[in-house]
Amino acid sequence: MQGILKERVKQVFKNGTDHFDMSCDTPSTSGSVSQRACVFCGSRVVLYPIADAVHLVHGPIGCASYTWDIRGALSSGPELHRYSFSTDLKEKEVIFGGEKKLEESIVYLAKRFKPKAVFVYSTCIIGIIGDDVERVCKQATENIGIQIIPVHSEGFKGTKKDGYKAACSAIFRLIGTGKGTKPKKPSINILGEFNLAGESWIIKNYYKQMGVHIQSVMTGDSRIEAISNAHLADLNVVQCSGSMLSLAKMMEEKYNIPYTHVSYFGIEDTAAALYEVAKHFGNPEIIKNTKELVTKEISQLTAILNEYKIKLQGKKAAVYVGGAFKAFSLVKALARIGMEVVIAGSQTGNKDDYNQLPNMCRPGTIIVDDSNPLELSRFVQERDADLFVGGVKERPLAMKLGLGFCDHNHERKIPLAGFEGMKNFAQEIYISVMSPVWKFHEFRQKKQIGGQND
Amino acid sequence: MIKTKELPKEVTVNSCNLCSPLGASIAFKGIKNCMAILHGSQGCATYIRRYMIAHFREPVDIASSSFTEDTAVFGGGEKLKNGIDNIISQYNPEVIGIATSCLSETIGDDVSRYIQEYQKERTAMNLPEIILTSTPSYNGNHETGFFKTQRALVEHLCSQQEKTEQFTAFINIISPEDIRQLKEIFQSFNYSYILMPDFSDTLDGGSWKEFNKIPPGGTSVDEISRVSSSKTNIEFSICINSKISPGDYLFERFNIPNIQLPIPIGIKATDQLMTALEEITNTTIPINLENQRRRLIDAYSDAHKYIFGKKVAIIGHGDLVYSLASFISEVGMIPLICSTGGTHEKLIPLLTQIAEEYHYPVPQICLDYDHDDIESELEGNDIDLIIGSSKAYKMAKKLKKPLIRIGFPIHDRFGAAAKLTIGYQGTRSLLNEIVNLFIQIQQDENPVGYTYQ
Ligand code: SF4
Ligand code: SF4
Repeated sequence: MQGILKERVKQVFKNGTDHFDMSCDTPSTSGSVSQRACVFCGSRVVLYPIADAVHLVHGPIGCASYTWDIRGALSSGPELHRYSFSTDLKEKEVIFGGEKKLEESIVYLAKRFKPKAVFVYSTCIIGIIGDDVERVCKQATENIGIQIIPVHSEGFKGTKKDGYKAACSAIFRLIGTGKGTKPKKPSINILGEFNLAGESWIIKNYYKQMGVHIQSVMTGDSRIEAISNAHLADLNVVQCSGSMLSLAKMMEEKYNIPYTHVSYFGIEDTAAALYEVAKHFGNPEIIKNTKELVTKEISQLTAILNEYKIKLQGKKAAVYVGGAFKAFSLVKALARIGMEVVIAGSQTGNKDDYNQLPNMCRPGTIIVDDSNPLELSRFVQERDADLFVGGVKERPLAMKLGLGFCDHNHERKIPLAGFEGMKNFAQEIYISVMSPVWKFHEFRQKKQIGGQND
Repeated sequence: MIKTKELPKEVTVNSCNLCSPLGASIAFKGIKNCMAILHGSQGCATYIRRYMIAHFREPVDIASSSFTEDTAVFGGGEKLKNGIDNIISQYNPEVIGIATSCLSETIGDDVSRYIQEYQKERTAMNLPEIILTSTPSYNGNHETGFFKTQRALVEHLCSQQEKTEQFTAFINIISPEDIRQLKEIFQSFNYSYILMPDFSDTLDGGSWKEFNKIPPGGTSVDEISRVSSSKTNIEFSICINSKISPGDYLFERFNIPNIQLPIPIGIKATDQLMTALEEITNTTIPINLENQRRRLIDAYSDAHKYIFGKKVAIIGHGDLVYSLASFISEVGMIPLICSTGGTHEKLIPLLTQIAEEYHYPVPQICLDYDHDDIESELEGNDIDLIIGSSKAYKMAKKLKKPLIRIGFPIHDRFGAAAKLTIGYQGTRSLLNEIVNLFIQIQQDENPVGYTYQ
């Protein structure tokens, strides 16, 4: 494809035209303005919602400042996760090491905030200045009597996905340390659900209605205690392919807990997720409850969605999100309200996920991994999209080009998961696409005139 | 009372500081046809981009040399060169600004050498100007990075020239609307000037007719190269360390007088600017500005009853804290707590002087404070208003105090780029905002709900 950096040609495909062989899982190309963050960012995403733990960022100040309270992961109780704690290393520590400052910081925070655990995130320079974080944490665990858990999240040691893995390993250290007893009802852990805008509460509510016990949510609105007893659940239900699959795999191996892979975006996927769990337990009561729940929710929604569909029919969307699995759900959800996806991409999709995309998308759809602003804007122009679904970094681009924009990232303030979320999603899309403001946009005017001519 | 942090706390909780490459990125954004690349790992660049995007609501492209484990061991030379190649082939900029990160500084990467090598290796190509600024965040914050970058630009691009009838203005971290206001003031004096770094269009542009790889606007290379022919420089910082001051550099190297001025908020600070401009241009203040000044004095009189004696906590970077303290003293409010994440000792005599002039006790001057320290200061004090960035909202909410948002970042209000607070006009709009806030509070608290005030 034209105008793509040569290092990136194997990460961009036109559906039906090019031979599809996505080369993903590679580090970002230098000088390409990747929309990705770093390993640390991945770890932060996963662990951040744990609200009764201290999240201490070990490094210079920036890494902690930029991640202070930037995500909408809600808590029903403590809110320690909304602080920004940093060892704020200065030149002195860069030269002589930061272990002492780290130790003192942990002691101070443990004393003042009385957390149930402390996560210590290593940022880029920590290994290089020679700090033995593992040792400091071990020592502190012994001295203080709560778990002080190192998270090996040096930014350059891989991609955001490696950060997910580092976070999963950190959580895995906690699992099994609890003294709880096995629940009587069939029970699940919900993995990869971060309670953005209260989404975990919506999902939990469904499972409750079905008669399934929720042992823990990892990590939306979660507590150290619940996580430490997560090994007692019967099933791990994993949302969002990238972030917590590795934890599910580790738990399967160690605790023999099977896992299933679901998504809560869109009607079909939400229903499928609930049925999947019901089927797993095979309990007639649960199956009956699930049917009732799904039927009720869908019948309530259908009329509303059909109305949106009439209005949105034929509009074109570009989807560029964190993981490819979420991209699938969005392709389906957008189709449900009459829209066609013309660009589908993700920052960190894996090969298996990408391989499913060509079948789901129409010919001509651009499928892309780890894209950048220049590519994305070229694609939306080429394919004449009306709407962009992405994260905050894509928003201004959409605005400049006169496209509607829907925030489907971690900063979102409106719940988009579950049946209820689908309704919000449709409304959000509707507002974004149908607003009259775009008609003043020169870029769009030009296109409309151009469109009439050809 | 002067406070430097003696609290028994090593850890930083809710910092007031952002990192140095962010300041560098804002400065590079003010250069025409410039692309910035952060030399380090991907995360820093992406975080800084999203932080700036959330504030300015504009596209902000910042590249990264994307360190990997190998790079961290063997050095970032190849990554950087490859990154520059890719920027050139994609963006074709006139300037590439390289800001180092903590990582590249810690491994001791010799970036100047890489640049020299690169320029030798690519002689066949028509290369953009490559400007390097060293911005480790363990040694300085966003203010430092902002001024260091301006200095790096003039160090690199200026060579001796004939003096012409023109001055240069080095701005502080102000809003795009503030920059436009400054330019209007300069234009009123009808005299040539160069303002840098001018991010008024690049970080607050209009809708696009067609796609722009790099948003239009900014101070051009040509303009910067002519900075050394200015008769005088104005530098909008009184807290700045001479080692990173672009004006001081130009004085040492080209003997150009450097006038350091506060950010012009309030009558006194704006008057200082006018006096400087009168001297430089050898004219008197133009009538339109004179009228603005009168209107501001009139507004001060109209406003005084609503705000007299109100006690204020100010949080911001050093220069902003000084100018805000000076302004609110002029209207009869009292800056009880003046706090910054920086370590500007210079603030102490400056704020003491204002207190003496307006006959109130010297404020608590809190240097090297984080938001958590400030919050504990506020808890024991009966204040009426907090002025700070969006990051002060948490404590404002907790302590049930109103917050006026100024500075960076403003992430929880609309229109940060359009916020005007400087010059006589800007001061007036800031005054309006403050007075209206107190009227609103009065209305909300009073059961009568007066419809005129
Ligand atoms: S490592 Fe340094 S440059 Fe990067 S985000 Fe952290 S403080 Fe800023
Ligand atoms: S320093 Fe490393 S860990 Fe911190 S933001 Fe940058 S890449 Fe991420």
